[in-house]
Amino acid sequence: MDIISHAVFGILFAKQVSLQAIIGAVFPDLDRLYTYPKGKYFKHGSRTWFHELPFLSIVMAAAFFLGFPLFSLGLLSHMFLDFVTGSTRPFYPLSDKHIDFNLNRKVKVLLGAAIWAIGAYYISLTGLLAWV
Amino acid sequence: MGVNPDRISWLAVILSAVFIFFQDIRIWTGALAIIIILDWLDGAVARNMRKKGRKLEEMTDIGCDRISELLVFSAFPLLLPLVVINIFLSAQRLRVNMPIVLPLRHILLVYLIGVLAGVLPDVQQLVMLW
Repeated sequence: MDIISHAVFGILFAKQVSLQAIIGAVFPDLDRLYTYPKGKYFKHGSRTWFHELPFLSIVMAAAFFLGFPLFSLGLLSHMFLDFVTGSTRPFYPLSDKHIDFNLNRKVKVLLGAAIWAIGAYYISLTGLLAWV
Repeated sequence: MGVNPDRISWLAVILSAVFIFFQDIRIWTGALAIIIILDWLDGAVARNMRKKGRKLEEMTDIGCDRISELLVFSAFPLLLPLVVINIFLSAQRLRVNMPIVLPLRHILLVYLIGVLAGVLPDVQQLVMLW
């Protein structure tokens, strides 16, 4: 899923327009800085251990205990959205097996559009412009 | 046209998001009961398909269970370390076929039913209203 959808979904999970949630929601995509220059753009090839459950669940729990609950929710939103729409290796690097629900591309595009629309509506309600 | 166990697991993950978007213990209890039934159902369907000669990976089931647990226990964040332990136990299970995981959602369901019935105390500090 694209980074804007992740950011918007993080806001929806946090139920508030929060910078913490947005950072948490896009945080796992930082590994793209490593994989994209290597020409790995698609599916689980574009994901490192930085993007999978063992590492992210530890970060999520740690962030909560360190007092960043909305960051945790942002992370969770990213894991959830990637898991239900994409191809992941949930236990990498402990296991290399991957999961892909093979969702129709049209369904993914519609889902992305719906997230953008719901997010825009929600942000307009909560007053992101005032927040910026 | 048959029922795909992967789709049932997927549905259980989607349903787990109820714990993010609602803060009502009755909704949680109902959703968790359905999630556990779906979890049982996907296993039953997979076993039936294996009997008919189809080879299926258990990876999807295990992965869905752990994501579902993360979503469910995000409503009880003090218990998140138990979910992390379960993730590592599951990874170990995939490597050495050692089927040991903590039945966290089942215990939570019993607890929630107990709270609804007034038998168990509502431990408010475990529930953080984000």
